Amino acid sequence: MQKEKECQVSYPLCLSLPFALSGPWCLTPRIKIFAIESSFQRSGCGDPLASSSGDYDYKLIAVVNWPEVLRHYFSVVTTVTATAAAAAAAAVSVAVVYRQVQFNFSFHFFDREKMEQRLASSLIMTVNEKKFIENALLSDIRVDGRRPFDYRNLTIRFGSEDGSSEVQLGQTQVIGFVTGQLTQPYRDRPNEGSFAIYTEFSPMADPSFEPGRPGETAIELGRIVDRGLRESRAVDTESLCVIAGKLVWSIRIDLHIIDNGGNLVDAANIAALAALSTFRRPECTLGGEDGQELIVHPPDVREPLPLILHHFPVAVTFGFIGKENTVVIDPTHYEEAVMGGSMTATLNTNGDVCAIQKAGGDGVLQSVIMQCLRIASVKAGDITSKIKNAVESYNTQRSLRKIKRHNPDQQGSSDVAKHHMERLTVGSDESGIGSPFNEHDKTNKRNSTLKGFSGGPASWDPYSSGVDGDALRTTLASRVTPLDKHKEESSPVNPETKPSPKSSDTNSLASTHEVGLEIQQSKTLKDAVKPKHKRRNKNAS
Amino acid sequence: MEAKPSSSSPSKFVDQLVVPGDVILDLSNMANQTLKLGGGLRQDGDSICVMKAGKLRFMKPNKYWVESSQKRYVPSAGDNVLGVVVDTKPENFLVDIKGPVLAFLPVLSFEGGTRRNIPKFEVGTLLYVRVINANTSMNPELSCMDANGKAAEYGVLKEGFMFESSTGLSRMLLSSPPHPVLEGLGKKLSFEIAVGINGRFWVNASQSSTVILVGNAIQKSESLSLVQQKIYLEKLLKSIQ
Repeated sequence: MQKEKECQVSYPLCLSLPFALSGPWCLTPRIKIFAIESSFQRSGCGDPLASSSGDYDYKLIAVVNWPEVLRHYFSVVTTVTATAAAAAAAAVSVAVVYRQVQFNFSFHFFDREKMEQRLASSLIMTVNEKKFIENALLSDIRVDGRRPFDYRNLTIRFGSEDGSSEVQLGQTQVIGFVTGQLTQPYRDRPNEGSFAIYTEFSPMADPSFEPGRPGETAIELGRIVDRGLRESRAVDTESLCVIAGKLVWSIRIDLHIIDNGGNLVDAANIAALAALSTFRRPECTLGGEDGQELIVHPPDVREPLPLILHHFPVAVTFGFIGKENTVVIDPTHYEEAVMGGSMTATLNTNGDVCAIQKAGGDGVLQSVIMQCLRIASVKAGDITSKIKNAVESYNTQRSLRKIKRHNPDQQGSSDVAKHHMERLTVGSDESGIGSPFNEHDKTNKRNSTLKGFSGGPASWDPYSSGVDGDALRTTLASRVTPLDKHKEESSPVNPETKPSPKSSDTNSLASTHEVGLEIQQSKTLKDAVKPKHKRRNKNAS
Repeated sequence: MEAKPSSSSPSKFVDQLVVPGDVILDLSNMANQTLKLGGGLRQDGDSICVMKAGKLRFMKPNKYWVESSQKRYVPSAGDNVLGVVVDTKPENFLVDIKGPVLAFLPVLSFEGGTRRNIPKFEVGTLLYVRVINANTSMNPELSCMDANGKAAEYGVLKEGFMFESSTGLSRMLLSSPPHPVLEGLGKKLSFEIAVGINGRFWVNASQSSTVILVGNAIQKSESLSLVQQKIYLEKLLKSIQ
C-alpha cells in the first residue's frame, strides 16, 4: 500500500536558516532542518517514522531539497532541542509529501540496524487488514466479532491500598494510582486544593512506546482525562482545603499503561475514576496549644476521608473508519491503526457533556457527531454503574477487613457507644444519632457471620495477632447483653485489650497500641455503621 | 531399537513437560551411539540437559528435541512463514517475519524472475515465503520458490485477514492428525487458510463473517484441550445454524 501521507508542516522560516547554518549544518552538511508544529494528520497508518522515534524530544520532518537530488523526496527524522524555542515563533505551513518507502541512506544519525529495529517495532499492518476491516464494517461486523457499538469486556479491580485501581478493557490494561500531599495553594485560589494527572506509557505495553518523556499520545491522553475531571468540576477541590491560603491537599493521579490493546483513553479514564473513588486522605484537624497547629491523623488513629466526587465523567471514544464515516466505538489497536479519525466524548449520567476531543483526522458530518453523543450517553451510564458497583463492593470488603482485623468483643462495642456519644457531642461527624442499639444489633449480626470464620483475624495485621480463638468465641457467644451491662463491663476492657497487643513489637508501644486499638475498634464499628445505615434507611422506607 | 537400561532413560521424559535444568539422558551408560539433538537441548559433559521449557519429543532412531510455544519466532531454515513487506531495496525486499530481525527476500527469488520483471510489492503486502537460511548473526534469507525452483504456493496472499497466534498453535494447525476445530469448521464452511510457522495465519472466505468466525475460533481454541475443543466446536456450529 502506497502510504503517501500529506503532512501539514509549519516551520519558522526565519529561524530555520540560521539554525541550519549553525548546528546540524556542520554535522551533516546536506540536510536542512526545520522545526515543526505537531499537527500531523492522523492517517493512522502506523507511520513507522513518527511513532518509533519516541525517544527524541520532538519529531521533525526535514525536506532535503538540494538541486541534485530533487528527483527523490527524502524524509529524515532527527532530534533538535532548540525546537522548543523555534516552535514559539511565527509559523508558515508547508505541505510536504513524502514516501515512507524510501529512506535517506546517507543520513548519519541512524545506522541501518537501528532503522530496521524501529521498523520492526511498530505495528506491522498488511494491506489486507485495512481492506478487510472496512469491508467487514459495511456488514456491521468487526474483527473480534463485536458489533460497531459494543464495548469490550470491562473489568475493574482494586489494589490493596486505597486509591489504586486496575482496569482491563479487552486486552488494554491500565493501572491508576491516587496519592495526596499537603502543599501551598495557588495564589489566586487560596481555598481550593488541586489535582494533577501524570501518565506513563510503559514500554511493556507496546513496542512503539519508548521510555522517557511522554510522547504525543501520552500527553493527549493526560489532557483528555484532566479536562474531563477539571472543567466539569467532578472533583470537589474546595473540600481539599485545610487552612485557607496556607495548606491544601494536592492530589496526584498516576496512570500507567500496562498493555495497549487499543482505546487507552477510555480505560485510563475509568482507572482514574475508580482510583479517585477509593482514595482516602488522612483527616487533619487544627489543634495544639494555640489552635493553629495542624495535626495530620494517621489512618489507624482516625479514619481517613474519601474524596468528594460530584459526578463521574466517563470518556467514550469513537473511531471513524473508511470514507463512508463508519463509526465504531472502543476501537482495538488494529482499528486504531486503520481509522481515519477519532473522537472522544466525555459525559456523565446527568446528561452533561463534559468534554469533547477531536484532534485532526477525517472530517465528520454534524449529524454523525450528534448521533455519537447520544450513543455515548448510553454507554456512559453503563460504565458509571459498573464503576459504582465495583467501588461499592470494594468499600464493603474494606470495612469487612477492618472488622476482621480487630477483636470484636462486647467491651469494644461499649467503648464504641461511649466514644460514639463523645463524638456526637463534639459534633465532628454526621453519622446521625442513630442509636448505638442499632449499631450494636448490626455488629451482632456481623459478628455472628464472623463466627463462621474459623480462627482469628487476618494474619497480616501485627497488632491483632495476639487474639486467641477461645477468647474470641466466648465473647461472640455472650454477645447478646444490652448496652447498660456493657457499660458496667467497660472496666475489664483494658485488661482484655492489653493481652491482645501483648505480642506487638515493644512494650513502650503497648499503651498506644491499646488506645489505638480501642479507638480503632470504635472506628471500625462506626465505619461499619455507615453502609448499614444506608441499608437500614432503605429497609425502613 | 536401543535397549539400554540407562539410569534416566529417554522414555521417561518423552512427551512430557520439561523445564530448564532437567537432565533427560545420562550418556555414561551409552557408548558408540549418535544422538541428534534439536532445539532446547544441550550436552553438558555426560548428560543431556534441557534449556527451554516445553515438551520433550523423540523420533526414532535418535532424534530428541523440545517443543515449546511462544509469541516470538526464531527463524530456521526450511520453514514456511507468512511475511509482511516493510521496505523495498534495490536488491531485496525487507520482510518482517516476527523474528528478531527483518528478513531479506531477494528480488529475483521468484519463479522466472529476471531483472526485467521484478514484482512491485508495496509496503504491507502479505507473502507466503520459505526461509532459505537463518544464521543467528545475519538477517534471514527468504524465497518465493520451492526447492525445485517452482512457485508452488508461495507468493502474495490477497484479500482475507491475517491473525496472530503463538508458534505452538501454528504447529498444531499444521500437524497431521488435523486440528479438531479447523477440521470441523472446514467441513461446514468453505474458506482458505495459510498457516505460517512463525505464529501467523491467514484466512480468506467469500464472506467477512466467515473469516472472522474461523479466525477467532482458532485463536480461542488454543488453550483448550482436545475434548474441550470438540465441545467448543459443536457449540459454535450450532450457533451458526
